[in-house]
Amino acid sequence: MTVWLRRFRSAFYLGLLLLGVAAAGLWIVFFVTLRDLPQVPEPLSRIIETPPTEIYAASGERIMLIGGREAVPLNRVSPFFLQAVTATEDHRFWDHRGLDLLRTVKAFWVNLFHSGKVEGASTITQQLAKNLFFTFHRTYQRKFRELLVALQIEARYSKNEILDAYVNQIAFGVGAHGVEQASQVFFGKPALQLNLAESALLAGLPKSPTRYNPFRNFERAKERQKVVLSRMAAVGAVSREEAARAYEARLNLRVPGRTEPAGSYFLDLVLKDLEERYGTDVVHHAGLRVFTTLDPQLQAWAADAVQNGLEKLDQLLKAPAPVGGDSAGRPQAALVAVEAHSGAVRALIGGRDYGETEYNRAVQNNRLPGSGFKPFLYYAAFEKAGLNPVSVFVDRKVTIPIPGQPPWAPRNFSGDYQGPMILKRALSHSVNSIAAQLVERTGAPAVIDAARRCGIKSPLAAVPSVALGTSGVSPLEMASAFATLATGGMQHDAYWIRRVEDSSGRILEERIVSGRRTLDASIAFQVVDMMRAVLDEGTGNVIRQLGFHLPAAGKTGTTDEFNDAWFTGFTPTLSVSVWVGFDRGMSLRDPQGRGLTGGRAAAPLWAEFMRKATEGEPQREFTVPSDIRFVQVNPTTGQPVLPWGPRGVDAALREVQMQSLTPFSGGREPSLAGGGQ
Amino acid sequence: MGGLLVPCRLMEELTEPKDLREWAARVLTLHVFVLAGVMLAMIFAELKLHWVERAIGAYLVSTNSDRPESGAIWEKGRKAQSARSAIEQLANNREAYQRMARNAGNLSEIVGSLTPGQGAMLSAEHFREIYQKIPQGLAAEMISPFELLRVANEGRWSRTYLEKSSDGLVVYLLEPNNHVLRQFKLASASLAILTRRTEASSQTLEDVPGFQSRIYSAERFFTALTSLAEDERRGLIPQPERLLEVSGQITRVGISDEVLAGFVDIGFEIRSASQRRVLLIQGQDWAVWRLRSLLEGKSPGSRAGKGPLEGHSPQ
Repeated sequence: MTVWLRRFRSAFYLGLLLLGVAAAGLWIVFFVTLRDLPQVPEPLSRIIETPPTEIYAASGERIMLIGGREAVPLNRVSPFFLQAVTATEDHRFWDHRGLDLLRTVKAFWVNLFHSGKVEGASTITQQLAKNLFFTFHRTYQRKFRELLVALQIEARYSKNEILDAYVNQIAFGVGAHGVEQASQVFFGKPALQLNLAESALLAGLPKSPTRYNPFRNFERAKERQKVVLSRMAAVGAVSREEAARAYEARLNLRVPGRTEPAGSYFLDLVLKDLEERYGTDVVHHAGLRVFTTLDPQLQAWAADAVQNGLEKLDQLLKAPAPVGGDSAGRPQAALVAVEAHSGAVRALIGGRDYGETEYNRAVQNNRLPGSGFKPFLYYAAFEKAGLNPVSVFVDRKVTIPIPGQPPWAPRNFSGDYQGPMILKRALSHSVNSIAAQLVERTGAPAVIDAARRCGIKSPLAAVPSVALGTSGVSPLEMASAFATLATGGMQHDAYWIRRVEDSSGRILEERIVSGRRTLDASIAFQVVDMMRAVLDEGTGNVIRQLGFHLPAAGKTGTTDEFNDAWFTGFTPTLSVSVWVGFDRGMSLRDPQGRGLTGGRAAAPLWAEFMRKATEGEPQREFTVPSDIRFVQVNPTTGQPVLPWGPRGVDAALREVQMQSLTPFSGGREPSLAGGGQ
Repeated sequence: MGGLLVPCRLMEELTEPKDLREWAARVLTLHVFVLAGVMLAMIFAELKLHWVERAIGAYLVSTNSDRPESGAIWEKGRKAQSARSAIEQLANNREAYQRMARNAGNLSEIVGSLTPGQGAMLSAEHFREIYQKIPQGLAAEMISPFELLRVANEGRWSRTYLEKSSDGLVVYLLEPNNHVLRQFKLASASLAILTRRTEASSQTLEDVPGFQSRIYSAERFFTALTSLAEDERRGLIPQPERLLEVSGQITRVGISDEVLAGFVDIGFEIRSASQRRVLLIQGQDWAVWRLRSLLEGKSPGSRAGKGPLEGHSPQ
């Protein structure tokens, strides 16, 4: 026997032995794996049986679906999509029985001998098995278990049932699970109506939903669409020409964020609240029906106002263009609209782009309100110190001693002092030196008490500067607190959930909309009347210049160094707060170094929103309490103007306060419209 | 046996070939061709018919029910089940006390069915019925009947929400969108009057604590009662129909020493053919004081008098 032959013989026996050992090993592994292989549910559609939690707007429109799946049968899915998904994910889907042997061998070869290259060979059935039962950790054991489950699924269910389950559960990103939901989210149409181009785009997303998200990375999504189309052409699903035409076709993607409340700051607020009340599992698995206070139209207008306002601010500030969707270095904004007579939150925007940052500045952002806090100070001054809108104070440099600390010497924004003036003018022109004198007289606790009675809940430091807004609050709090003034002193807690039902419609809870009187109606009206002057002749007069002419009141707020710009204002029915600023301690300054005030940065957003929100509404005046009289006074002396003299400033005084005026005061009954202007 | 002989002989022969020609001659035999053919056919069949996958799949289907319900989908199912149970429990509880409230004939039944923090929704009509059954003093403490009439007449009152809290009962009159039209409260002391027992466990007045010093014969009681003005009688016994419903004869009447939220217990000892029992009714303190004055032979004087139940007055 030759040496060669002996070697061949030894190799042959060794091969046989190894083959035997491998077969026995496989057999053992099979049965060991089998022991804890998961049971496959019957029927397979069980994966979509969990009822979803549905969230509705106040209009009755469904705005979000959590958990569950919006499953559709295959005959209600575009054939283009089915071809695209099979061509891309598993082109031999209709031929194999759960394992694509040739592709597996090829992938094995590539992964083994081409270092650094990873090729997958999972069939659609294997992907389904993975999604249903396994984690996403890549191990050989998991792959083997996944394969076995796939074989079982293939043995038990038809190809149509498998494909049906697959397309109804895959994740497309942006919270969309299943082809129907994805079609609605990305194109605003049912899955049956998807054309070739749209189908190819959607079919490319499951590979990496974040990377190929067309809302954020449109170019990458188009590249992926091209891959899908070329695969479809390669397997003969479409011709090369059809694929090329589909690639060139215009895609009508829905505009995210503006009109689509899904994945919005408002829904975040609702979800967080629900999870605190019922627990995460109940919210995501029990199929609740949640009726919110959101007005989709107002929400859309709020989103428009914020986007447009921020675009203008970007230009004004010469803010850097976003890099890779990152808005760092660009200002942010928040807007909250609260129904004055109930506290219902009708619109809420918590930032520039929810997809970019989920930090909800409307509710979480405790930013300094600056002079926006002064209405609480004036209320306290009228109530505790017996002052009124025509009380005269001198705008002068003031220094207030604080025990154990350096004295507090607030400055006016303008930097100069205008001498004597009535309090109505001091508020409308936001004079800090007079505000400091008032807080010295009332004390910080009285200001805090007034703010609390209006609904401010954030911690407030009991220091004189609290009157000038040196304790952080949120736009939601500000809108809600100013609503208390709008209603003449009836405080309503802000709320966003009206009713919660179980999946069969049984009520679990419903909101009782109750308010309590926390402010004196007459004093509250006096403050409101002063705040009207902020819009008509004071720091917020840009609102009138921008074309908002309905009766309204408000207050601007700007903090030192221009870190925060606010405008919070209200009509008799709607209270809206707007905040603008940077996330990280940067100043709102234009390239020339000029700071942007609340009147310049935030008030235009408020005006744009309110113009649309109140379009077509009749003039509604604030309710005038019966003991209020209007009088024209000299803004410097507070003395009534003579009937034949120059026109003064209208001020609202309580009947008892009229006695302090001279007989020719010209005090008059409120007109039917109730306005004092 | 023949099947086994073939591989054995093959292996034996493989050990023996001396050169390549002999090897080839031995390999190129019919049984080797047959074996190779069978193997190729199996491979070909696998590629075309996927019989291995089918066989494994079929085996796994047959053992499916023996395997654990593990993995993401089962976990999700369990969570869903537990979440649904929690919600079911919540909804059932709510329905139960809502049903109890709907079927309640008076306010004390509703209050008794609620724990602090719970609330019940009633129709406006139901609340009006219940309101009429509340003793006048308590009803007025909640809301004046004329104010209630005004609210009802405005036409927006559709439902009433009653919420029990640790310090009483808050009543909200609601319009269809759940906005509160009126809101009022019944303090817990007044609630205690409402939910007070109406029947003492004792059989005689002597056994009821607080009554021993003021027990009168029925005749004396009714004589005094007759001499009271109508509003005083109403204040004393707000719901006389309760006494009229009783079968048996009132033999003695007792007045409690204790005043609770402006009300005093009056005990009626009733004897029927088979038993004796004591029925309790809550009278307003000023009316009880007037009655006591008569019973004790004092001048009734002003209603605005002080502490009616001070002093001692034997039978």
